[in-house]
Amino acid sequence: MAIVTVQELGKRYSAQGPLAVDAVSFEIHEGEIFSLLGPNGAGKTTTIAMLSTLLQPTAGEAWVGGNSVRTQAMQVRRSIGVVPQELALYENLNARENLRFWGEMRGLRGSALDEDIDHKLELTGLQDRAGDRVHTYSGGMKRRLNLAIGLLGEPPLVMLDEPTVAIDPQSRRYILDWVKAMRDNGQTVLYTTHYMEEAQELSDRIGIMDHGKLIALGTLAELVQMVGELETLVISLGEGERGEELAERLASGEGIHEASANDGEVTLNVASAQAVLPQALAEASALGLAVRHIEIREPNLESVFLHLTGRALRD
Amino acid sequence: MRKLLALIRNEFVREFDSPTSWVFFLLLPLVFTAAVGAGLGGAGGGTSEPQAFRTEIAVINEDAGALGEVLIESLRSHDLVPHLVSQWPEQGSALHIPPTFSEQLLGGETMSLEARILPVGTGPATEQMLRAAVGRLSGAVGVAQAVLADVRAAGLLALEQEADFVSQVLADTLDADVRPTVASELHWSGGVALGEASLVGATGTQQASAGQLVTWVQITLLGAAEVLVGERLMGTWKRMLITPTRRNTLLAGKLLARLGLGLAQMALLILGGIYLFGVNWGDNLGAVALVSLAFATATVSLGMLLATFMRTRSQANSTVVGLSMGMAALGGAWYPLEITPPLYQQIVRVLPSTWAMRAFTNLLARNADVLGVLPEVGVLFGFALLFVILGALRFQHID
Repeated sequence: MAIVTVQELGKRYSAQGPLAVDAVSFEIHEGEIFSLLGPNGAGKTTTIAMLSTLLQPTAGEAWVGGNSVRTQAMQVRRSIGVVPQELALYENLNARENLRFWGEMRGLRGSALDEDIDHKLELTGLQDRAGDRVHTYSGGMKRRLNLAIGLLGEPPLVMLDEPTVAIDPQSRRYILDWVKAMRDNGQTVLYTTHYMEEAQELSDRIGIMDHGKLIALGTLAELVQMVGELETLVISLGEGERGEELAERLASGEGIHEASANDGEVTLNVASAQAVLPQALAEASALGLAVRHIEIREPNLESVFLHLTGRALRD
Repeated sequence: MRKLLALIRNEFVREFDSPTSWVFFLLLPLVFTAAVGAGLGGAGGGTSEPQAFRTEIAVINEDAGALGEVLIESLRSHDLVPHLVSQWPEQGSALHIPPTFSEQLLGGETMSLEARILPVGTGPATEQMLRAAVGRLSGAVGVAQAVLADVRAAGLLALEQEADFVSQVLADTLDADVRPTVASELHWSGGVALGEASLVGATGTQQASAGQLVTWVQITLLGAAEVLVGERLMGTWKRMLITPTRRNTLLAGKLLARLGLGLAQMALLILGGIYLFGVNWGDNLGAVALVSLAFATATVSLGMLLATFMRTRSQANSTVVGLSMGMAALGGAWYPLEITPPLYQQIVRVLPSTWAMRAFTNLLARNADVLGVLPEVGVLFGFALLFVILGALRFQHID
């Protein structure tokens, strides 16, 4: 059963401006982790902002828990928890005070609120620092508290907007495990990221966004099938070297479906990496480029994105 | 209601997150009250030395005889510039000469004149010059009466007509000689004295107490303009908007929190004025509370309206401080408006601070009750209503 239904949703920030979100449609089923994957500027955050009633759509409609985000904003807000991409904390208050305030704003009170606060402090591992002001916390601790606030009251739908940006590996692991625990707890999760690995690890289904459009939607297996049996060959060049010319030369080579270059790396979607490798190395040598590292990957979301857009996900 | 209380508590807790908050909230306002109060002449009204300047005084001369004119001339000789008026003026120093002034004075009765003196600025000097001029006339009358008594005692005036003639000569002499010589050792039963001059404005300390209160509380209240910017920069504003809380509740919470902070600060500064500087805030605590509430409501509403225009913290900071200082200075918080030209006094009526100072001065100097401050309170609540409506309209469109 769908907890979120999105139909032809669109958002244009100004009358003459481009569409930040362009006729996006999808459903999120109860109890699943649904990821929106795409590079920065793809429209993921704008989509979440509309689903959380922060922004009014300029086209289309969306329902959360059966309530319209356009006309039943208050009902929608009661059923969601949102973890924004940017930290949204009172740094001069401590963790407990932050949790109490945001819990009260969600309508929680009394012993239920006290228990929820204790539970969240335990989950985040912040019990020992609960009385310290947030400005004394590390970046990872702040991220965890930011996440905990969004989960107060155990909302049926939790929206997490790039919650692992700029944090240490330990806190990242913490958050990813927590997201899985939410699903185990029966909650539905809408997760946005531009990290392919996170989407692969967490998601039941994935929507890939680019330039405001939803360009692919399905399970990981379904998406990978889109690129068939293609492999991904990644050639890392020497320090300071750029691979645009190499990608351009290889793009028309035999057995090479897509080629792109980014930040000293050339990524190729190929039928057989072993067959293409000698040609790629020869071209690199001819261009005077030093090859530092070569990696052959099984088909994954990276190759899907490359296949769909002609660009690497990091572009 | 619980969300409203949560918003208010949150604002209070964050306002006093460090001890330095108290410096601006309480300590500096009290220090400035002491310093400015001393600069304006303290609590007294007549301790300053007369200064080498000429100052105006309104005179209501109703005297049927000639001595009223003599007194007016005597005022001129004491560096006062009298200008005749028919009734008590709204502002400034003034002297009333009653209809029976000459008759009573020449009849040997003791007279007491009524005067109103501005207790700050030129007021103390004016009062001294006025007392000197009245004293000179009183001395001259005393001399005349003494002479008449001596002549009678010597049996030189056998007939009633002779006595009347001498009295008339003395009166004519007084009328003609505007600078009679007075012997300091002379004593007389009758004469004229200046009654206790009633204050027409606040004393230096009262003016400073009310003025600094308005100045500093304005900073706190207009600080509402920084609230939204601060929340936006912290990311907490968006987070609030996606909680199941109505925008009007958010607006009311922020507004009431600032209002509470301002009222608390006012209460502390009023208590500080009473117990540290001996300021008498009058007998009508209800009126003081009403004026404080009206001023706080108007100013915090202006702050919320400004908040909808602010985009950066520095923009909000400079607006709050600049506007607070400007409105305080123009509205009479730093000096009595009575010493400014009438046109200026009309123009600055567009500021809430002007009405607040008028109301506070009424409470301090004239011990006004609720009815006495009702016009100012009404205007202040009118300002509040206007600002709230404009702010609420703009607030609906703030992301």
